[in-house]
Amino acid sequence: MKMPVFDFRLSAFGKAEEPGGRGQPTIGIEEANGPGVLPNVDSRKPNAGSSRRDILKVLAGGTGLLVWRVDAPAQAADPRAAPDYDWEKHWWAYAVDTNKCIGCTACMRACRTENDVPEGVVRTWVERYRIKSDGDVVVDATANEPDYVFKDDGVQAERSFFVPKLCNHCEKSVCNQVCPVGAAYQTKDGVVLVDRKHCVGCGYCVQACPYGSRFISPKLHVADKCTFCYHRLAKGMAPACVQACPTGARLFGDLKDPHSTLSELLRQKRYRVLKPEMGTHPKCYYLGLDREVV
Amino acid sequence: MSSEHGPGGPRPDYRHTRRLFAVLGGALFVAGVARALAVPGSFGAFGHWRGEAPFEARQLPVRHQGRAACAECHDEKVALNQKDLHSRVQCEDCHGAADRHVAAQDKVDKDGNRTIAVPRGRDMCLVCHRRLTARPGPFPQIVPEEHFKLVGVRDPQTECTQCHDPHEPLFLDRDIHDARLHPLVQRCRDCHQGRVDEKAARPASHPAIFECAYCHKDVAKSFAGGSHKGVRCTTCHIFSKDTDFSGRIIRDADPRFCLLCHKKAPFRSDDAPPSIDWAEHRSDVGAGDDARCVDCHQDRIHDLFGGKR
Repeated sequence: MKMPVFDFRLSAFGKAEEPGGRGQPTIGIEEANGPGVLPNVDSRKPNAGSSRRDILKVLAGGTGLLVWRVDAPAQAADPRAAPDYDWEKHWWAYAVDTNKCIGCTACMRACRTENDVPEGVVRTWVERYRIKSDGDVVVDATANEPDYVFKDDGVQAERSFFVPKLCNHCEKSVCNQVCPVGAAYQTKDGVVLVDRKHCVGCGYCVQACPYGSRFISPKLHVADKCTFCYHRLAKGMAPACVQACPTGARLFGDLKDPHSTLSELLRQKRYRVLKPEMGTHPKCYYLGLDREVV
Repeated sequence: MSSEHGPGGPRPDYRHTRRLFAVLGGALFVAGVARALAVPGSFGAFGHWRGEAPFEARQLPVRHQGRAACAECHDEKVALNQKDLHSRVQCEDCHGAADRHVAAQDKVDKDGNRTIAVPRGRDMCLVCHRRLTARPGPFPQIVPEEHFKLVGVRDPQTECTQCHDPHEPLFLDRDIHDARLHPLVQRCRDCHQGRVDEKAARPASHPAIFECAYCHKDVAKSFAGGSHKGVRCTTCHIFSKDTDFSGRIIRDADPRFCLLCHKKAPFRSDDAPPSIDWAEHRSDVGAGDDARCVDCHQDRIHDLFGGKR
């Protein structure tokens, strides 16, 4: 019997994947394991057919098995994947011009409808910062209620502004690193998504995200978040929030296209990202962001 | 030890070793089968995730159709909307996602449910236009009570749409980009003449924020003493900022613009501001069809109206 090939790259520490690094399966591994060991079964339910006893047997088999590489044999090209949309040719990013936001929350309403976001949670929200003359900062954010509107409550602000927020679709996202089942991932066009069928709803990613962008959906009981309206991108449409924004505070574009609105904007304007010290390389760029914004 | 298993002793017994390997081998096989069942087929096709997942995510239904879809049937309404300041407001911002409306091609679907929203009342307008801390200054915003007082509305339940058409709120019957380019004062030579050092530091006494009156002080002075003193410059001279360095100023002398405040209406008091019936008033004074309010009432606005630019 041939010994299984151990792959220590997939360690228990959940080392970050290099983009495209594990994209192609290694031929040698396929041969070593043989078709009988890794049959190409499409099991929709995670852990389908495996009992706790099986798992214990796996554990009994030795820790080496736990680091056995999990690359499946190459899939035939998915017929739904390509013909009109090539995800290798795009790298989507987002920009927010905080000078233009009027806090109307049209974006939130559009997002809720477009993505069927249940009450009590939000994929995108708007924060209002009011900085008083003594330096105190008063922040109020659109609560998780569907028809929230900002109201004035007598706070005398020296300067004040709105900051729309959403998932930053980080290039080196923390949520993807911590997911224990591989249900959090980044597509080749740069969008961080949740695999709803594979997620077990452990909530680790919700805790890991430094931007508070994730939540456990009360309806689906799995992690959920902004998807950049991934179902619209492939059809050539902008995310619902970008389309809905009446002042052009929310912008979206392709960074692989040097002539896209966003590429030109980022060349011409000064911008910042949120929490750069986290090393997550967010792809949501903020124009005119105040130093008080966290 | 060696004396027991010497040359004449019993043969070495490896059963325990074989048992160990049998258990290990069995465990390995069971683990392989369990793993094959547990890991989805497309897992790892592109990375440490299920390769089919993004293609499933693309299959979700698109609900917001965009203005182009609305224009396929409502082209006149969309064309009207494109001429004014609401040109950036998507139809679906007020009317809701249009997927069901487009599918049904009607106001109601087969089951008689409404497919599109027609908002009534003030709430939808005030979502954007209520005066609010943090709302950018140039953006038009009101406190309803103050606004009603200014334009003489008596009935507090009056809806915005009784004066303002949301599809054509300010009657800008021209492309906004045809409007006159106004330099937002950013450079010294926009005000100062002769040789100007653009890099010179701003003197402490120099205003940091520019307002209309800094350059147009005569106009502002005569205006402040007139009957329109409660009105801001930008209420009539709509200032649309295109870039950091320039803006477009729109001067609207369309009579309908004046009539926003001065039209006779049942919910409005007759005296403050003076309300007229436009057709009646025009025939009273013998004005033609293309007459503008400002042709007669220049003095009510400010001195330089129609004078030098």
